[in-house]
Order: sequence, then structure tokens, then C-alpha cells
Amino acid sequence: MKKNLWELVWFRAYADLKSEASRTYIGILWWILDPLLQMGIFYLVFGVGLRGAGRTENFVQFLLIGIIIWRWFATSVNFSSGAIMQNRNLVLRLDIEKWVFPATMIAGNAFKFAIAFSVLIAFLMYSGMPLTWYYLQLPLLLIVQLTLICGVAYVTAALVPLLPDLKNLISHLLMLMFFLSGIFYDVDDMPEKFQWVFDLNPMVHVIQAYRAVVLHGEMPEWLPLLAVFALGLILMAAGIWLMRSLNVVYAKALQAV
Amino acid sequence: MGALIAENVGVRYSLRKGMFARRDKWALRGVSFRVEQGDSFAVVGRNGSGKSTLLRVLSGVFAPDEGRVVNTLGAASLLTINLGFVQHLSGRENAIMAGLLQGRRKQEVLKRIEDIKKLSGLGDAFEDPIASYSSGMTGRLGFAASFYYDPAVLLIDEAFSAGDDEFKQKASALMTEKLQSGLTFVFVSHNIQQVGKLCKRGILLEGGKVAAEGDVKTITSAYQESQKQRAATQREASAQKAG
Repeated sequence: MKKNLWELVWFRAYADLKSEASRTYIGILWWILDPLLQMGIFYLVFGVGLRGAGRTENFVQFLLIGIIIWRWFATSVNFSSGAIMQNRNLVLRLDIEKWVFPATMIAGNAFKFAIAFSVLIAFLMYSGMPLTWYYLQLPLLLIVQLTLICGVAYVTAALVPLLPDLKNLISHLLMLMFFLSGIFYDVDDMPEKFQWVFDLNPMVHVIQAYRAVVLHGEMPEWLPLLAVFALGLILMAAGIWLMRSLNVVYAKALQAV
Repeated sequence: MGALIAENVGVRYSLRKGMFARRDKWALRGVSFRVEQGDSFAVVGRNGSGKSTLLRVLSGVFAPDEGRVVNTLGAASLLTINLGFVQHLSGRENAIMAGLLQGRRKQEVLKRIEDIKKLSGLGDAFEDPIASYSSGMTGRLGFAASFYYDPAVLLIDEAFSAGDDEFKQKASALMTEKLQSGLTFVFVSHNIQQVGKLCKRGILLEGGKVAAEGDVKTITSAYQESQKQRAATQREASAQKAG
């Protein structure tokens, strides 16, 4: 892949972040405030209000890990799915590799996630969770999740410009997946006959792995994570292949919209 | 020596006419020509004659649905002024963005950046967000930011001058000088005077087809002739309506 394109990805991601920060009064503070507020709301609703799921130990920490990890996945996929359409005027004037557009979204969201994740870890420390050697596995977990995000984001980004209706469907699918990812409940507490649904959901394995490391101080189950990593790589290759073979189709599809 | 060759090129648009219905329309059909190294090639035609579509095919944005484009000259890309500009970024940052979008390495762009600043004449405003610029200032930045990167074949869509009146003259003069220095380019326009000044050969497009080709005099007079005819038919039509 051309080095120029990576420079373009970083620079456009920087431009997006800078624009986003310039649009509000407190700017970059929102990147800290956003996850804090979301964590606060979920804490109020599920931690104080609906204490039904109270069987889980350290429920608040359990919940917030799920939320922050999920958010990284969902916002990246959501932003990326519209990335090629959003850059319509570039697509119509430049012969440019289209993966640049979702990659830019992923880079920007990864940066915001890094802040949110640091806030989360700070909260966990503050709430008395011990810092353990198991934390050393976090970089690997982040790589696995990033690969999954790239895979799903590239494939959706590749397809949405040609099937714009898919964009509407994606937000509903993400919502469904949110409820099926064991974010505010423990999938191990769910009935045996539904376990296959959770087994097939890559985000269940990702979220459980983070919880194993930072909450329970234990080894995550690496085998399912390896499968998630492989799935991410396959989807990524498929997405890039699609965007390359459809390269000249996008301009025409966007022209006709 | 290389050439940029269009062979029987056709481009079809499929227009959405309802939930599932589509209607096809040929924007270009049977277009053939050859641009040699160092050529100054004009594509003349009215609005909607397929000029912009042709540029998109030549730059590789569209693939032809019929025929083919063979390019052995090297990258053919559109002169893009203000393309991809971001309002919240400074003039300097937008100039970097423009270079990157034109396929240049950041290092190369940074080497050029002071020249760009000077050419734009923006002075200290170069460091301000372009949201604070007037349209004339943005035009100057846009011109300066894309002036230094010449592809093997430069594709120019309509007027290339930008900015306020004073700058327009400067930009036009610089561009003319550059184009006359042996750069290979395809210039799309309906400004007959500019075409006559800059180009040696070209084609006239009408309704997506080549209506005339040859040296620049032939096609500009053919264009003027067709404009006259069109005006005459329109007069007749309105006379009939009135009568």
C-alpha cells in the first residue's frame, strides 16, 4: 500500500478531529466528557435504578467496561459505513483507493477511544481494582478488536454506496447486536439453549476478554479470540478486495444518487 | 513515445426513476481521439455535452462502459482547486491536504509549502483557519495549493483562474505560461477565446458524440456555427409558438 495514502489517512483523521473540536466551545474536553457522561447515565440506570442484574460482582465496573468497548466498535462501524458517500466530491474527482475513507474514520475513532479507555482504566483504579500483570495482555486485545473493527467497517463501507438502504439496516443491526453482546448482563447467566447465539457473536468474546483481564485478573480465553482475529482479517481482505474491484463503480453510483 | 488514446469510448448513466425502475442514458458514445506527449488538446462543447464525463473517464474516476482508454503517458489527473478543503484547518494545513490528495508525499509538500504561501499572497492569514477567509482568498489558496503538482497529463475543467480580480490575471498568466511550456494537457471549456489561445488541436462534443475534430480553428468555428444554428432554431421555435 502506498505510503502517500497512509499519510493522507492520518492527516484527514487529524483534520476531522480538529474540525470536531472546533465546532464546540469546550472542544477536546468533549472527548473526555462524552464517555464520562455515558458511563454516568448507564451507572444511574443499571447500577442504581435497575439493580436486577445485581448478581454480578462489581456490576458497575462490569457494565462500564462493556459500554466503552462496545462504543468503540459501534461508532467506528457506523461512521465508516457512510465514509465513501460522505466523500462524494473527492470520489467524483480523484482516482483514489476507497479504503482510505473508512480507514480515516477508524483512525479518528481509535484516537477518541484511546481517551475513553484511559478514563475507564482511571475509574477502575480509583474504584479499587488492582493493577495486575494481566494488563500486559491488553495491547493484544486491542489489536484483535481493531482488526475486527477494520474488517466489519471495510465490508460495510464497501457495500453501502452501492446499496444505500443498507445504511439504515446497519444501525438496527448494531442495536440488536448491542443487546446480544452481554453488556449489561453476564452471558454466562443466560439459558444454556441460547449460548450458541453468544458464541457466534464476536463482540461477546472481545468484551469477555477485557473483563477477564481488568476485572477478574485472569487469562482471557484466547481460542475464541483467535477466531475473532481471523474473522477480522478475512473481512478486512474481503473489504479491500471489494473496494478495489468496485473502485470505478462508486463514482458512477454516487453520481446517480 | 506515449499517448493518451480514447477508442470508441461510451459512458452510460443509469438514472433512478422510482423504487426499482431505472432508465439508461448515454452521456458519451463512440468518442475517439489521441493526445500525444506535449499536446495541448481542447474539448469544446455546450453544457451537458459530455465534457465533464469525458474528463472523469480520462482521469480514471469512471471506467468506460464501451470502448477503452489507453494511457501510456503516466498519471492523468484533474486540476482540482479547493478540493477537499476543510473549513477549520489553516491555509497551511489545507495546502498540505491538497498536496496529499494529489498523491504527493507529505515531505514533498512541505518542501513546496513556502512557495505556495508566497504564490497565494495570503501572508499571515496563511496560518488562520480558512473559515475566516473571503471567497477570493480561498480561491487564491486553492490555486496556489494545486499549482505546483503537475501530473503527466493535466486535465483542466473550465476556467482555471481563481480568486479576486487582481489575482485572476496573475493566475491566468501563470497558468498560460505553464501550459505553453510543453506540458501535456486536456482543456475542457466553452470559452472559445481561451481555447484558441491555449490549444492546438481538439474535438467538439455534441450530445455525447464527436461533432468535429482537428486543429483548434476547425473546432472553434464548428462550435460557433452550431451555436448560431441552435439560436436560429430556437428563434424559429419561439416564432412558431407565438404565431
